[in-house]
Amino acid sequence: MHKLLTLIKKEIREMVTWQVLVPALVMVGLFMFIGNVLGKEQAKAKAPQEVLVVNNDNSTTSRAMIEVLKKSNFKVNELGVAPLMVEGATAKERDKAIADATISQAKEKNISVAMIIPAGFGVGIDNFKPQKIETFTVMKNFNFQSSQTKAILDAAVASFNNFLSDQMISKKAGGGVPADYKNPIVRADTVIIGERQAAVSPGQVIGFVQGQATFVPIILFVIITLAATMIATAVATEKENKTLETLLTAPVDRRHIIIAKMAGASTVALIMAGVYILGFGYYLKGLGAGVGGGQLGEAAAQLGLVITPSGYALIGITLFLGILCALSMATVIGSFAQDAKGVQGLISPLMILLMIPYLLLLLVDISTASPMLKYLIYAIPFSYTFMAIQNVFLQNYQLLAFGIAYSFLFFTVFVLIAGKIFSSDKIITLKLNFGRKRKQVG
Amino acid sequence: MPTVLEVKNLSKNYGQLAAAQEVSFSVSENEIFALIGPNGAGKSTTIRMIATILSPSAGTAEVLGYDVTKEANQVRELISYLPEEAGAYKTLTGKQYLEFMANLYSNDKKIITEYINRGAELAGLGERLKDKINTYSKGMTRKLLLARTLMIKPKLAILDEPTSGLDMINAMEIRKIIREFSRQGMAVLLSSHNMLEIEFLSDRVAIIDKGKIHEIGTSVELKAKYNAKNLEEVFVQATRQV
Repeated sequence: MHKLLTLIKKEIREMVTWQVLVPALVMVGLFMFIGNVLGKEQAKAKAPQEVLVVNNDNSTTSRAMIEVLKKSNFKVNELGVAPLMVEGATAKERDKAIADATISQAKEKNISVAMIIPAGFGVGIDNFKPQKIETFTVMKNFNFQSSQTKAILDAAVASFNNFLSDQMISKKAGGGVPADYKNPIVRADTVIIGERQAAVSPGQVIGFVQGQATFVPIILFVIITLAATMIATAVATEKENKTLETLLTAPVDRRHIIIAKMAGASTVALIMAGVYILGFGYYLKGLGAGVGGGQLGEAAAQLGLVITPSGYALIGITLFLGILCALSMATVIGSFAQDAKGVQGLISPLMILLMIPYLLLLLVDISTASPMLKYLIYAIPFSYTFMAIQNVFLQNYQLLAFGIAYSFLFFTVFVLIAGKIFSSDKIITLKLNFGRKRKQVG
Repeated sequence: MPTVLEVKNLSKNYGQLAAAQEVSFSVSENEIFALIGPNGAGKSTTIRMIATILSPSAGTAEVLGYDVTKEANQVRELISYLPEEAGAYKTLTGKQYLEFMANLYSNDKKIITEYINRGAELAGLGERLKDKINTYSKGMTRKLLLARTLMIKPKLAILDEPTSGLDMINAMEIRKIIREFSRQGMAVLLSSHNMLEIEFLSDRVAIIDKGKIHEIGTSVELKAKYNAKNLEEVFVQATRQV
């Protein structure tokens, strides 16, 4: 035990270096910064949006419409038309003057959406004739946030349409609730998971689950890649720095050398996991991707979409076994490399094994997939890691148990292979050169 | 003197290539035994088999009666090996490296401290032991590695080119240390290209070429047998006859 602890201490000291920690800390800072910026933008988007309205009609209907806008969380900035009325001007000249003034005012007040309600608008609506309103959108960029401008315009026009159609329906139908005429069918959604059910829309449930499980596979992908690269590099570096031969002649159990390397890489992976989760947490907080509470929370509880302590334990075991599988495979891979550079090429098959379930599970419904695809997914141990949270939510305990047993078996087989390599002279003689010249045996 | 190492018909094949062929010799307590030969002669392969790194294709090697293949763990308790191109962990300081290695050879704190102190003294690096190994010169690293090899006072020290990369003064110092340790009872198996070093250090010499041992004897015996002025001439004549 003393010798094993000595080896583990050495591995951690070798692996936890500033070269590893600094990029991770920079990443956290970056995530925090992006999350903070996005959070501020989201807050801006939730605040009342400013629109410039030119009421050229000034009828009861147009004034009522502006009131509707104000009640719909819009900050209405009205532009009076009286100063723009020039005596002797033609209707066309007057319309142009109003449009120019609207644009100039919108730019001056930094308002991105403006609209002109034309004269005669109210009369037209009263006669059940569709009316046209002019809209102006000031575009300053084309990034993700620019879609906000379109949303403001759509929401403002939708508020108008809703109000006016309600008014028309009331008049034509001679009473009743307009909404009942517009949507004669009312949905009563029920979602069923296993034996449980709750009155909630499927869209809300999907949003709720994805909100919790979206970033876990990303984190996992990073951790497994990092841990695997780290252990394979650790083995190859021992060869490259000519320290392996000395270590192999020391009176230590060779399995302990492997265990120590795995423990070192796992420790670093766990530190990095914590760091990335922290960073992603800030990022998602900024994006406002928090878990819904209230009614949705209650529905989630009814559906069993709450991770219980035993659920956490199952997820933890599955994730840990996924990391161990990657570590054991990477140890074998590292044995083939002559130096740390060689690891980059050799580790690629492992990365592909990670990518396959990661992408397939994002895009494919495994329950309806073809048998070949199903076998492929189930044959890769990392699939169970990526499916862990979903399986706990869906109470697929059989699949979880199978995944744990399969991953453990996979890990055991690769540890035995690694043990066999380290216990024999294969650890020295195994080489994949990729075209490089072999050294002469002396 | 009791025999520490007994090698009988040791062979190692890599496919068609016979890196070592039926190599036999023995090394006793207090004795310094040298393998001399050119690059690719089979010196390092033989040494690595005895050091339990490579598995022999045939033959046996025993350290104090323990077989290097079947009882490798017991053999590792008795030997200490310095490879030709050995390195040390660059992220550790010299002292941390000695501590790490000492902890692999004993669980007893008192013995570990004894090893570390001896290692520090042998390395002769003074305050530089507190510095990271990646700041050391090649010579300093080699001295640290030799100190690591000898600090545990093994029954058999296996030294592959022990003075490789060292300047004349450091090389002389290291030869002196090896001699002293041998006098205290340690058996030494070494290999070197440096014939002068071999002549100065070794009690007996084995001439090895193309994986085979051609001659074994003291320097004096071999020079007399081949009527040679030095071991280089002995080597040339001994390998030419075959």
